[in-house]
Amino acid sequence: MIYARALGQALSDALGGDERVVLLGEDIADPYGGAFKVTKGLSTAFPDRVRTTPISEAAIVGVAAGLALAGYRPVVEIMFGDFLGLCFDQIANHIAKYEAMYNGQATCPVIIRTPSGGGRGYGPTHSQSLEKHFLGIPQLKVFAASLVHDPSALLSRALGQAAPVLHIEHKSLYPLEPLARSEVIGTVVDLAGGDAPPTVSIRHVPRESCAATVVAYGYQAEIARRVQARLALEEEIFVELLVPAQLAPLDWEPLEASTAVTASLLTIEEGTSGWSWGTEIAAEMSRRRFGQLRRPVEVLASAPEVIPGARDLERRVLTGEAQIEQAMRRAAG
Amino acid sequence: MRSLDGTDFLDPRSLAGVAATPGVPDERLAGVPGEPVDERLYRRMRFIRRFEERLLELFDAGILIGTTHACVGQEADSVALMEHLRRDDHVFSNHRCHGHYLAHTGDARGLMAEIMGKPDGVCGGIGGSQHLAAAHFKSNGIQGGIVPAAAGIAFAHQLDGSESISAVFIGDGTLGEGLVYETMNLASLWSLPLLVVVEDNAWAQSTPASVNLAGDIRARFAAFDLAVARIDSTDVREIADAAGRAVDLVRTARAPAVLIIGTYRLCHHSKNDDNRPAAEVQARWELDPLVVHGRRLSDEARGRVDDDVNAAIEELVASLSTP
Amino acid sequence: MIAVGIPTTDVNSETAELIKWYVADRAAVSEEQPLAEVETSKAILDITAPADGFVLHDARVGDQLSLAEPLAFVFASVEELERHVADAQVAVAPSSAERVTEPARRRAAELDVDLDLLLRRSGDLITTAVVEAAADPSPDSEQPLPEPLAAPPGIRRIALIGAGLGATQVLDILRGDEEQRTIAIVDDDPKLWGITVADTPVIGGVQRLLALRAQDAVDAAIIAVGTSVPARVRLREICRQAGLPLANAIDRTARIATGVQFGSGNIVCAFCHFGVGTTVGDNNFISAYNSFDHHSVIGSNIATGPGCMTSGVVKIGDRCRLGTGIFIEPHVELGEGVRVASGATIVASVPPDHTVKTRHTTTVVVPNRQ
Repeated sequence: MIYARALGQALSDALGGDERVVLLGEDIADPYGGAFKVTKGLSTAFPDRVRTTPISEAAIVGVAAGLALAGYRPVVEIMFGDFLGLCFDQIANHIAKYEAMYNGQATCPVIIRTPSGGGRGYGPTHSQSLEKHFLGIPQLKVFAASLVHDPSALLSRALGQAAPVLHIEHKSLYPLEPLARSEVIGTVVDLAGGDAPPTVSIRHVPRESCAATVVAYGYQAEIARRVQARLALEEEIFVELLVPAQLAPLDWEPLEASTAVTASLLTIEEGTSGWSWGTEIAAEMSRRRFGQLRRPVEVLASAPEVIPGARDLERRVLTGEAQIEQAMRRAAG
Repeated sequence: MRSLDGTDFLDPRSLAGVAATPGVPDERLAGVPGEPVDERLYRRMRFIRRFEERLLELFDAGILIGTTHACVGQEADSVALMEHLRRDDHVFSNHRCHGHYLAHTGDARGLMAEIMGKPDGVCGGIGGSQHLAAAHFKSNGIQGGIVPAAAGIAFAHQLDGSESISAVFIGDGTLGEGLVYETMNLASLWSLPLLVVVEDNAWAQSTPASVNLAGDIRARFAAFDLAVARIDSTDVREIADAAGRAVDLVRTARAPAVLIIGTYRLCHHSKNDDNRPAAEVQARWELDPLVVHGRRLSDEARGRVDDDVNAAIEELVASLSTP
Repeated sequence: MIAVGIPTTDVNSETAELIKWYVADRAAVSEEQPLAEVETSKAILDITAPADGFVLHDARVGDQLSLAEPLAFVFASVEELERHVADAQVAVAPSSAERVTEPARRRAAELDVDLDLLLRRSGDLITTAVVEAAADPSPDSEQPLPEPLAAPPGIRRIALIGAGLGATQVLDILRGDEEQRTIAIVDDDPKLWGITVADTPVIGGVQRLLALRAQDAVDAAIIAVGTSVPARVRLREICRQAGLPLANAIDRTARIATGVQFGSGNIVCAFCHFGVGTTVGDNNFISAYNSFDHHSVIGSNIATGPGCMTSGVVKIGDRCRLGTGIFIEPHVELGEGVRVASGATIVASVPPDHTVKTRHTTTVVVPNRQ
């Protein structure tokens, strides 16, 4: 089933399995079932605990904070990741701080889900990847959905711990099917992350034969995977693709292990370039692998501009397949 | 409504052991069992007053650093409300939270230690003056941001099917934050058992309400179909009457309500930042809640309670000052 | 959106042919309503709708459908269906058949390397490096090959050919055999040399087996390669030329009546019954719980699934293939090369090179209604 339905099923299982789970969001109730239909059917099945809200991102997230403080497990849908700015204060100054500033006497396990990313021509304020502004907020975990992580497992993991989680879902993933491991050429392994969900490694040959490490998340991971497969099958250019589900805090172990062998690192994201996920990885990995990488870490991100509505203009701004291929070739070179 | 003369008040000792700090709150501060209600009310207000005065002295002496927001002059508000709250009700407070905290928990030691940055403070020294947590009590220093959290806790009570309510203290200045209105809309739509207590002291930091607030405070809440009551008083018994009605309304109707208390801050906003007209402040000192209510006690009783409180606070400061 | 597939009830088929659609494209359908008729090598199936909704055809009449792919989708609403069609993202799933790189293909052609063999040997991607290594294999020098196990005197020493799943089954059967003992396994995949299957070592390839024969270190062989008929034929020929007889592996729970005669190279699994006067040819694979009643004649090179029952005086010709749960009435004769679908009840003889098919509605799995 497609990712949107798989996630909807996961939410349904969560609601059915734990009475403390509560869903809040704009337009999430039936028959509409959410802007991307993820929550379809849920308000019918669980009318008390799936509530549609007025257009009040800050209040929705704030109410979720109160629910979480009182022992419930709220999952909030922010309709577009572009709207995260409206709830930044609640996330940064309240939700992410409660447990620590109260010295462990409270927990605030809010999960905030949001469709993000571009490629559909929705224009400057409905196409962004603003998760970069939430990376590094202490105590906040940022997850990113991908096709190689089971949505149900990822949601269970978020619900199974007490930290607040921002769960980024690139909207281009919704109509695609999560990948069955058997369908992926090459070796797909979970690099166990301890507390964090596993980072998935995809490679077509043993790591010793890989010329570069590529790290990507979300929809860009899927594009990268296709490019990786094509380069492998057509030209025998081999890289190891790492797809973490938790963007921050990041489990460095898989990157360390891989770059110890490949000595070349490329990061890929759709957020704007500069002060981003990739630049943090570049700084940290350059420090950890100082003197051992054979080329500087390359950070591939979108142009630091507004995202145009016109499809061809949008394509020029956002990180796309062509840039990913060129960058991968450089990284493996 | 609970009778002020009855004995089933919110016994702070019932919260002992539930809060972070060990031990029972000092009777001299939180209330001696069996004492007349008026004495107890006076004692608890004097407790808060003395605590805040002492705190400001420590800051002035350079022994404490950082910022703090004392509630001198507004003691009656918290003492009055706590008369009517039950154990499982929740209180969310703001940057000016000491009075609310002390009236709710009686925990002078934990609060003083917290502001001193000591590990046995309420939050281990991490939260400081504005960020306190005890069972059924929290505070945060971001204006307005606490309101939806309080609403969320009310929502949790609703989902639990319990009789508990959630109360939140805000000020007139907070009414500039849009989030307050978002939350009132939600609370009204979902009929959340939330009590909003607005301490309208007419000044938001350095700005008078006339510069900050257009229109009418009551009308703001009434626009969301919320039950609103206003009392302009510093008399703890009058405020307690009004608070009792408001609490009962929320508890029985399972719907939100707002209580606006017209009060006045007799101290600086934080420290050394009071630009209000001296004459205005002076006039308000005559309405000092301790004076207003203190008249109901005999000189002897008043003096005895003052001595109790002073002694207890001094002992506390002394015990915390020794390394 | 629910994908509608073809339940793989037929293990011998890899594809099914779409014979006809019962409903038009985009028609409204209700749960369990028949959507299409497909035919496998052994059965004709009706595919039914898994839920109420609107169906989108994903195949045409006459298409040979892979059993792993859907032939239709059912959507909850027309809007969803249209959106799916309009929104066709380029969701190119990787071709799971693509396990050889383009450069490797070219190199394999240059060096005359058998790619199929390489693909069978390992699941890894076949690269130029792998092809070149296969073309010029340096002997795997380090590890000496293990020796066969010892057997007590008087016990027939058996070598198994083939180290896969078939071997484990035969090893289990022979464990209960008091007259025979497996002393070694051989396999043509060098990657398996040196490993142990159920405590029996893989000592090398078929050449090693012939060497053992020459040293008189082995008495008989059993071919445990299940899947490939040509491979079995080839191996039988090799054994025949080397003068190496093929043994029978008959599970000790089999009930063999008086006067039953067996040829060689037969594998008989648990709880089988061979009635009085029955004869069995060579190289048959008989699954568990098969029963051949009195005076039946079972030919050679036959394979059956579990639970097949014949009545008395039944003749099953060479190279017949039976599914599971088949019942055959008395005096019926199945000609050579006959294939029988699971669950068939055969009441009359079947001419050679024919297939007995069953027609049944598919079973579908749906979630419980809330």
